[in-house]
This record gives sequence, C-alpha cells and structure tokens, in this order.
Amino acid sequence: MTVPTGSVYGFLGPNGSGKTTTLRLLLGMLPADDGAITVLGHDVPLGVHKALAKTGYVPERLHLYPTLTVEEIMRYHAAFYPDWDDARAEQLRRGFSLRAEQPIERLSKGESGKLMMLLALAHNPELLVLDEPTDGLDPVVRRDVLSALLEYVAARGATVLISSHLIHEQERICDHVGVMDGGRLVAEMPMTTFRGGIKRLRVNKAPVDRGDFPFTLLSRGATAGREEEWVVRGWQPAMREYFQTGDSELREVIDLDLEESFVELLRSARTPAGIAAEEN
Amino acid sequence: MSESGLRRTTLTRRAVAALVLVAGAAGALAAQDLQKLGMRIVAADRAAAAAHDSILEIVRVMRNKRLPYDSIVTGAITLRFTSKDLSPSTRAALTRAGDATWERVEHGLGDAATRVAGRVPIVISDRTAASFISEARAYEYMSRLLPHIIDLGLPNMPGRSRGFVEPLNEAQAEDAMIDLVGSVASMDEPPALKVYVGDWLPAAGLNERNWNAAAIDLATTNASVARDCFAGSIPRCKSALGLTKVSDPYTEWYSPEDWRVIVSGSLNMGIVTEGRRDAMQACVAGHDMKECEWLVRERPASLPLDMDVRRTVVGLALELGGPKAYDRLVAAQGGSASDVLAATSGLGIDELVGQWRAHVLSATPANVRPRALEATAMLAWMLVFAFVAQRRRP
Amino acid sequence: MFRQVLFTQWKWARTELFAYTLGAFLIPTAILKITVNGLDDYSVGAMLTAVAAAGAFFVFLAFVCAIGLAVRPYLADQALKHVYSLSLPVPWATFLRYRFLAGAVLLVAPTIAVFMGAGLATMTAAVPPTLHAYPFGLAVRFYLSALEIYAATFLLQYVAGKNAVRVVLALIGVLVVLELGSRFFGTTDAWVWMWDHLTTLPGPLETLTARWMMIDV
Repeated sequence: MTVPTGSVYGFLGPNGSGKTTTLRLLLGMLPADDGAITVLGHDVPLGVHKALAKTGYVPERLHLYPTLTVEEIMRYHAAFYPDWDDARAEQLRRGFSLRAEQPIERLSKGESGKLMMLLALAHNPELLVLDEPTDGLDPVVRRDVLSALLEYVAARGATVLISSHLIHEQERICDHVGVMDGGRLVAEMPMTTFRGGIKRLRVNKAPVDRGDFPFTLLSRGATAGREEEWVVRGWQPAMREYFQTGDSELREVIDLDLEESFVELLRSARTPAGIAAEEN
Repeated sequence: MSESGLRRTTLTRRAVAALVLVAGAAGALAAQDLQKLGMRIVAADRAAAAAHDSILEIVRVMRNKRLPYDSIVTGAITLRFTSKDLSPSTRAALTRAGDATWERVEHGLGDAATRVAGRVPIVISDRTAASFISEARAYEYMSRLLPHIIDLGLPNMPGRSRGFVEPLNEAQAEDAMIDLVGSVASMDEPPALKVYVGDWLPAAGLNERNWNAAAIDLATTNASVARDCFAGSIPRCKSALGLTKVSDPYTEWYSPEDWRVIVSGSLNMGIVTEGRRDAMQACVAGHDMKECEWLVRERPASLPLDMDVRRTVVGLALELGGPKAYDRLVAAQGGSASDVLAATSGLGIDELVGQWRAHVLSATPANVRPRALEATAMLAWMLVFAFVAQRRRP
Repeated sequence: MFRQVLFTQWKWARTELFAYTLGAFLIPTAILKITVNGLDDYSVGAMLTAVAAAGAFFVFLAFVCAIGLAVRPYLADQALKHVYSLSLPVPWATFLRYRFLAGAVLLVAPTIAVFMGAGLATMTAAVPPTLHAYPFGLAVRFYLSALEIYAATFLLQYVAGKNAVRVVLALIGVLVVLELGSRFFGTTDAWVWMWDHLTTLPGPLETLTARWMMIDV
C-alpha cells in the first residue's frame, strides 16, 4: 500500500475488512507480524513517535478521556505536540461551536467528531489519518467537519488517508483509492481510474480466456443464450478491437457508478478467479 | 514381641477390661447413676491407655537398645542418635547447625568451651508428630499424614528438648543446640546465679536479638526504677537488675503511679480478688493511693526486668571477662549474684552495669524508620517493577 | 507534558486522594485518642501494644493509596483501549514513565498527611520518657512501601493487562494450595521458604513485616 505524498487517499472496504487494523498498524498501535511500514520517512514502529508528531489522527470512535473538559483535553494534547498552534485550535473550537468547559462525556456525537478533528488539525500535521471520521454524524456536522478538513488540505497540502465505507463521500474528496477486503488490499489506483476504469461488458460468443486480455477480467457469467456479462478493470475504448477478431461480438459497454464498481471489485476479489486476476 | 503384636494385645486387654467394667456396672445400675458409670469407664480407659503407652515406650527403648549408637561430632559437641530413620539431608543439616553452634560456644565460653560442650551429648531421637497430640489413639491416622519430629534433648534433663519437623530448619536447630549447651553450662553455676538467671547460661554469647529484647524490656516496663536506669542512674540499674539488696521493693522499684498501673492491668484483665473490686476501682480512678499500695502489697513484688534481661548481664560479663571468664564464674561459688558477675567480668559491678546500660541503649531495635539497606531494596524493587512494566505495550 | 499527565491523574483520583489524605491525617490522632488516651492510665506496654496494632492501619492505607492511584489511570486508558495514549507522539516507555512518576508524585499527598497526622497525634499524646515518636520515619516508610506496591500494581496491569485479575487470583490459588499442603500433608517447606524470601531482605514484602509504629522504644 502506498499513499502518495499530498494525495487524499480513500481507503475503502466493507465493515470488518481490516481498514482500522491497517491504520493502527501504520500508526504503530499494533505490532506487525511481517513486512515493513514507513510513515513520513520514519520506520514504524521504531520511529513512529516522530511520524506521530506530524500526524493528525481521528479514530473510528471517541478516544478521549471522558472526564476531561474540552479545554483540558486541548491543553493535554497540546503538551505532546511541538507544532501545536493555540490560535488555530481556538479558532477551530469557536468554528465548531465547542464550549471550553464542556466535559467530553457530555458532548454529542457530532461535537465529539468535531473535537477529534480539531485535535487532529491544530498541530499542523503533514499527514491526516482519519478512520471513518464522519460515520454517524448528521449531514450538517459532516459538512462542517469535511469543510474544515478540505480547507486545511487546500491550505497546507497535507496528505490524507481517510478510511470510510461511505463511497460517495470518498468520491467527492479523494484522488486515490485503495480497496481492502478480508484483510487484503484488493486494489489501489487513482480515483479517475477507479471511477471510469471498471465496466460491465455484454459479449456474445465470448472468447476463451487465453490470458491475453488487454484488460483485467474481474468476473464473467452467462446471461441468455450464448451471451455473457463480463466485469473488467482498466477498460479503454480502443480495447473494443480485441473482440473484433474471431466470432466474438462486444454488444454493449456499460458504465458503473462508484458504488457498483466497488461492489464488483469486491465480488471479483472474493472468487478464486478474481484473486488470480488481482495477483496477475 | 513385636510392637504391632503388643499393640493388638493391649487393645484386646483394654476391650476386655471395658467389657468387664460395663458388665459389672450393669448390675449396679439401680444404685449408680449413668454419669458415675461413664466416669468409671473413662477412668478405666485412661488407665488402659497409660499402660499401653508405657508398653510402647518399653518397646521403643528395647528396640533402640538393639541399635548401635551413631553420632555426629562437631567441635566438642556430640550429637548422638540411634534411629535408622535420620535422613542424609537431616544429618547434613544437623552437622551444619552443630558446626555453627560450636563456633559460637567456643567464642562464648572461651577456654571452658570444650569442657562444657563435651560434658553431655545432645541426644537426637525421632518420633511421629501424632505422638505430640494427647489422645493420639483417636488420631492415629495423623501419624500417616504428619511428618516425623526430630527431637533434640539432653539425657536426664526432660523438658528442655525441642522438636523439629523435617526438613530441618538449620537456624532453629542451632538455637536449640545453643539452648542445650547453655543448660549444660549452668550445671556448675554458683547457687546465687542459679537463683538469679535459672538453669541456663548464655554459653554462645549474646546476639542483636537478645540486646533488642533487653532494650524493649527496659523501655517498656512499668517501674520507676527502670525509668531511672534508662535516664542514667547506675545504682537504679543495679536495683532494677536485682543486683542489690532491696528492703521494700514496692516502694523502691515502683512509684505510686506504677502501683495504679499494676492494679489497673489486673482489673482490665478481669483478675479481681473477691471483695476487692471497689478498692481496685478507687485505686485506678486515682482517688486513693493508699488503696493502691494496699492492693499491690497483697501480691508478690516481681522484678522489674525479666530473666532474659538479667541473662544479658551474665552474657556481657562472660564476654568482657575473656577466655577465663567462665572458669571464674564457676569458681565464685559462695558469692552473691553481684559478686559472681564482677568476678566473671573482671570489672567492678558498677562498671559492668554501666557498660550493660550503654549496650542496651544502643541496641534499641529497628524502629519504623527504614534502614539504608531496606530503603535501597524498596527503591530497587520499585525501579525493577517500573522498568519491566515499560517493556510491554498494551 | 509531565505536568499535563500529572494533572489528568490528579483529576481522576482527586476524590479518593482527598479521602486518603484526610484519613492519613486524622486517623493517627484518632488511633491514639481511642487506644492510648482511652486507657485508664499511663502504661508503656499498653501504649506500645495499641500503637503496634494501629500500625496495621498504615499498611492498609499504603495498599489502598498505592493500588487506587495505580488503577485509576490504567482503567481510564483501558476504557479507550489505550488508543489515545498510543496515538500520542512519545515513545511508549516515556509515556509510561510519566504515568508512573505522576502517581509517585500524587502519593506524596497522603505521605505528608501521615507525617503531619502522626506528628500532631504524638505531640498531643503523653509519650512516656522511655519511648520516642517517629512521625517522619513512619511517613518515609509509608511512602516507600506505597511506592513499591504502586510499582507492583503498575507492573501487573501493564504486563498482564486484562488478565491482571486472573493473575492475582492464580497467585492466591497457589498460596491456598501451599497452605492446604502445609496443613494436611506437612509440606511446610515451600510455603515457609516462599514467605521467608518475600518478607526478609531483600524480599519485596519485607516492609510489611517491619515495626509500623509511630511511637516506639
């Protein structure tokens, strides 16, 4: 998995696919069994605290001490981050309409989400790791939180790794996407590729797979008569020519929306053929 | 006859005796009530049990007589035993304890050490723990569960033996041996000293524990004479230690306030002589010191410092007197306790008591303030715990 | 950083800490008032007996303070599955060091209260001339013992985690088995050996067997 510097990387996957575990591995909260992790040039877990100093993290659930007040947790948090910006924090607090003396345990879900975003942004991080940051928030709060995030990214050019199962939300803000399923990274590509690259094809007299397809065949299935429906990745219009050889006939190329693409990607990943295709 | 054969015969006899008693008693039921009959049966059972125990003892002696004596010799101390059951580990532990004892006795008694320690062997015997329990017949199964007891004693000196469970605790065995050698050492002590410290001398010198106990006794006894000694008066120390003639101990050793404490102690513990309650209460209330005096004088005046404290004076005299101290102690047969101690130490009694007081005051036992080693150990444990805790992430 | 960690730990434990401190201050006086001054008369032996018995209170207080102060922050982190603590940009060992030191600092409050309480109690009681008051010594022992128990609890929590209670129960189980063994099969050796090693220097429980007496010879 590679998150390009300066990108907004959407991390997609169904519930339980391992997104949160992956994020925690990246931040050194869990020990990795194997492999190597580098975050902002620092090896994890050895230099993770250096990476964390430049990282803003918003976990899936409220992770702050409930008995502290908003002001106290801001002070506490600030003490650990050398680049903490008091003025910025205060500005965000006011912007989010959070009362300083309010105990965290009495914050609503929306206020908790705002507070976590405030803490993640106020120390000018180079990387933001956001685990389902808008999950369960009402639309108004979600808009506030995402605006704050986008403003920051626009101003600072920070890298954002955002995990979510809300695909349409990712579509709006992400320029890269990674799809996780069953603990595996199933696909990783620029959002443009993801958005336009997965197609459903209706093929008459479908050819045998000789391993020479110019696209990645994610799945195939018979519909009626000798017609088959294929789901392919990496489709380009020029690839129509492939079907013009032999008896095969490409009858229709159907665009999938992001959610359908996501579902097809997952479906293919869960079949042995799909896994093989991914590995190829 | 074997022991088990004897046991069976005895049990049969006891059963027959009980049956005869019951049969005889049956005819007299009209005249005697059941309680008396029960008492007679219990008495008969006890007599039979005593006979049974005597026979077992005879068997044990006979069996031991057939076995050759074995012994462990450490310095001049001989540990004699006959039992086949003394395990190699127990023998080794006894040898080490004996070695340690001998080293201390040699230091404590100087030139006389060999003579005293070699005079009587220490006898080691073993028996089952169940034999300690009265009515052991009812608990015979316990002999299978409980371990053997290793007894350390002196021949012809019952009551001084000490029993140990295996595996033997060496330090305790050493204490027992020192105790036994101390009893042997007291065999020749002058009569005045026998009255003063009893049938025991500190043959192995004194240790920190002895001095600590003396310090606590001196500081805590409810007697004005001890408080004066604590404050620095040597004549009062001599008096508190029972080394001077006292004409009226009630007034010389105790103040009126001490009388009140003594009476109060009795009252608190519920020791009230019939018809004295009002007087005691009046005394404790502090209304009438005459009542207190009268009540105190009704009981014997006890020495303010106990015998163990007096033994520290003897121990110090032996220590200060050098290698010939014990010989001088034995030679001073006709003198008073004060004379014997002066002769033993080779010092005047005032000087001896002065040194004793200095020793006692400097031996104040460890109080709540942690010693340097203790504090270091606590801090070290704390650091170890904290360090190990940091090694693991949740 | 440390100040903030200290602040949070103080905030979590302040109610109990206040109770411990108040107890540590008042109870020495209460002990002497009830036991010693309650005696009919001036008796050195009775005073020492009473003070020795009251020593158990200080051991108990040391245990309660230490365990209370160690458990509070751990539970606060445990409730959040340690996510927040682990997301902070400090090495874990450094964070735990701050946690540990903060508890050690907070333990000073009941220690000062023990010193002042015992000092006040012994000043207002009639201490016989052959005895001495040791409020400072008592406070030092209290602090060091509490610190040791605090460290042991700290270790148990962070090493055994959720299994800490099971570990404690297992230890109690071992003690019970040893005790039963010694009672019914005469296997006193292991029990005695263990107890001897724990309670004699340099054993970690040695401090519990010391003379916890604010008045002593």
